[in-house]
Amino acid sequence: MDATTPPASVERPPGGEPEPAPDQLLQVIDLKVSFRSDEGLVRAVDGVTFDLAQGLTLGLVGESGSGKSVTTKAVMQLLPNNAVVDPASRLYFRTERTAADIATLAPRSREMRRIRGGEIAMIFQEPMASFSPVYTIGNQMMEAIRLHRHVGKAEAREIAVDMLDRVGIANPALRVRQYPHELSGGMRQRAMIALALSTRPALLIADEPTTALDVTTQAQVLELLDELRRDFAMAMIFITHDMGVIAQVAQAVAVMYLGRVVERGPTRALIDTPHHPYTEGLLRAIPRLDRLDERLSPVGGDIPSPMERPTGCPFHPRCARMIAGTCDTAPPPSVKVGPDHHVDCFLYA
Amino acid sequence: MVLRFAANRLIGMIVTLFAVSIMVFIIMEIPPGDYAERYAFRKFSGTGVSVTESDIDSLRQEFGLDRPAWERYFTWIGGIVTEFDFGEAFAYETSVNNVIGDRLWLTLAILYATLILTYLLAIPIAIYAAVKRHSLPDYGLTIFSYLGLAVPNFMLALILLYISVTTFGAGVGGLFSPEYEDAPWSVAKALDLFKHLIVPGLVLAWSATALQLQTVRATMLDELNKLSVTAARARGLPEWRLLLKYPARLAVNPVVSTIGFDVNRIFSELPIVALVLSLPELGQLLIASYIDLDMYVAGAILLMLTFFIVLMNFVSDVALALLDPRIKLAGG
Ligand SMILES: Nc1ncnc2c1ncn2[C@@H]1O[C@H](COP(=O)(O)OP(=O)(O)OP(=O)(O)O)[C@@H](O)[C@H]1O
Ligand SMILES: [Mg+2]
Repeated sequence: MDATTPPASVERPPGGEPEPAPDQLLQVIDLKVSFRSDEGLVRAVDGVTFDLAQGLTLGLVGESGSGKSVTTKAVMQLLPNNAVVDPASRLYFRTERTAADIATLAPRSREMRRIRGGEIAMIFQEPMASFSPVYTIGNQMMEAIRLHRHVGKAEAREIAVDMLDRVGIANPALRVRQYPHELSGGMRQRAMIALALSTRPALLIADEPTTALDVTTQAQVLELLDELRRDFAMAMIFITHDMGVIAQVAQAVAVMYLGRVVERGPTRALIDTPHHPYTEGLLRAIPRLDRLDERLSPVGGDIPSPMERPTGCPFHPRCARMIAGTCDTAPPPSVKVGPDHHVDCFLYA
Repeated sequence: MVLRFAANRLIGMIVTLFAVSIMVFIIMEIPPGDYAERYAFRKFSGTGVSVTESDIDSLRQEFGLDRPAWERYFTWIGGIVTEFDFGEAFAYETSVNNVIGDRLWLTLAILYATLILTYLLAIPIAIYAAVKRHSLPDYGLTIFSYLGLAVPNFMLALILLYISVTTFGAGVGGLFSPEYEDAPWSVAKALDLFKHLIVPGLVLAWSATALQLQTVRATMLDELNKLSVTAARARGLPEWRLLLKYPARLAVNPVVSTIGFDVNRIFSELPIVALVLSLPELGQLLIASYIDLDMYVAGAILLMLTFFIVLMNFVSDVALALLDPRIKLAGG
């Protein structure tokens, strides 16, 4: 870290181990993930840091390829075999039942399997593909329930039916016996949410859960998720490309660009006073009824490939306010610009 | 649901078999000449006796070959359906049933031995190879598969025959050791049969296994990348339980759906292997009966072989419907 970095809640003290903060549910500290490929190691996530408090939603935004999914998969230890997590990365996770640095757990260990699904659940972009087509909805829900809540078959089925009912699926007793292809897209995503929440996780990771749905269903599912988060006192990481969606569901935001969090802070502060030029670009791209004909391009220029990561600030080749000789040479410092509001940018150094 | 689907397919199977029986009958009729001419030629050639058209006609009458084709078809198929009687084997001067006799059961024994061996080998090995992709065992299996596809069956049969004769000292030709050849069925005889089935089973199963290995491995790799597998992993399911319940279950589908195809292939490869290993099976008899224009024997064999292909297709359809709930909806 740069010596000029102002102290922040989870910034690493020079030379020392980062300390877990007891009030946070999840602390991701300097997460680095690379992939082995034919061209060598390709860094996909390059020092991501953020925290998440109990019961709140963090929105993770950024263009395609910025590393949102890889970051959350690292938290779940669901990365493919060719992924390498830097050993200095820290993933502190703390609930009533757990206090662990997930980065140090073996992916197949009992403890990790208990966390995965039991403490942290995940839902995905394509509700159809998330279910196996050859087992009933009930079979797949009961599998999760019986893995994490020591109940018998009958009780697991009851929990599944109740959960389906809870997420607004009509006739849940029939639906548990049906196969995924017998449900509509919106219903499947509700069923997936029901499955994820049936183990009462402390954290739900939702990776673009509404992208595949039509606009009306999308709004309903967003509302449902927010309601469930409050009722179940659960935290959420909500991944999306869409700043508009973030404003609806998230209390805090982390903006990712090319494997780094370039700005993070409370949703209101970040939307009202964005600091990073990239965040400003994303906010400009929220579709508005009065500018429907404009193309939604957040920032000019193309995202560089992770194999040709620019030196200095990764955003400088596309940045309108780039400071020549500074932004293209050294990595930008992390600057605290407000309460819990941090930006990695030379403009504020 | 599955029952209704099976009933539908059963009706389809009966219709297919009816169509097949007509086709087989037509094939029986195609070769120029008939058994009457063949018989006359055999009996009188070289004796100096000249055979007249009317001699042949009376022979035709004797064999019942003078009646119209459709009448002969119904007599033939009627006998088969009602009495399991496949008609007369002219060349052997006995019934077709007697000529075929045990060969049917022995052919089926080889068929099922091969199928079971193929699936027992191919499915678990392919699943393992896919999970351990790009590992040494995976590459080894690929090489083994290509060998299996490249080496002709007759050569493999000769090699295995040579090995088993030289290292085990026993002749493996035939399906029984001499002492059991005409003995009544007993546990010892069944064991003897089993021993003799290993070499033909291995020969026939190798190429089938090689093919299925590649299919199952490819499907398994495909399935491993499915989001539903990641989703199941995200539920905290232990890895091997997960692999067996989700991707492996679907990787078996292509095997199940090609059972009929495998049966067909085994039947067509069997005669060559049988020739090398001197096994009494149906394929060679089929060829011999064609040469002799002994059409009821040929017809019976063709009908039996196609019956088993159609039957195994039916089994494959129903098994697939049991494995994949999406099929029932479309077909039922
Ligand atoms: N299995 C993998 N092997 C190699 N590279 C990968 C793999 N998975 C992801 N990557 C790379 O990691 C980078 C980040 O990918 P990631 O999926 O996290 O992006 P994302 O922000 O989720 O994008 P999207 O919005 O499209 O989902 C990309 O450059 C991608 O090519
Ligand atoms: Mg993604």
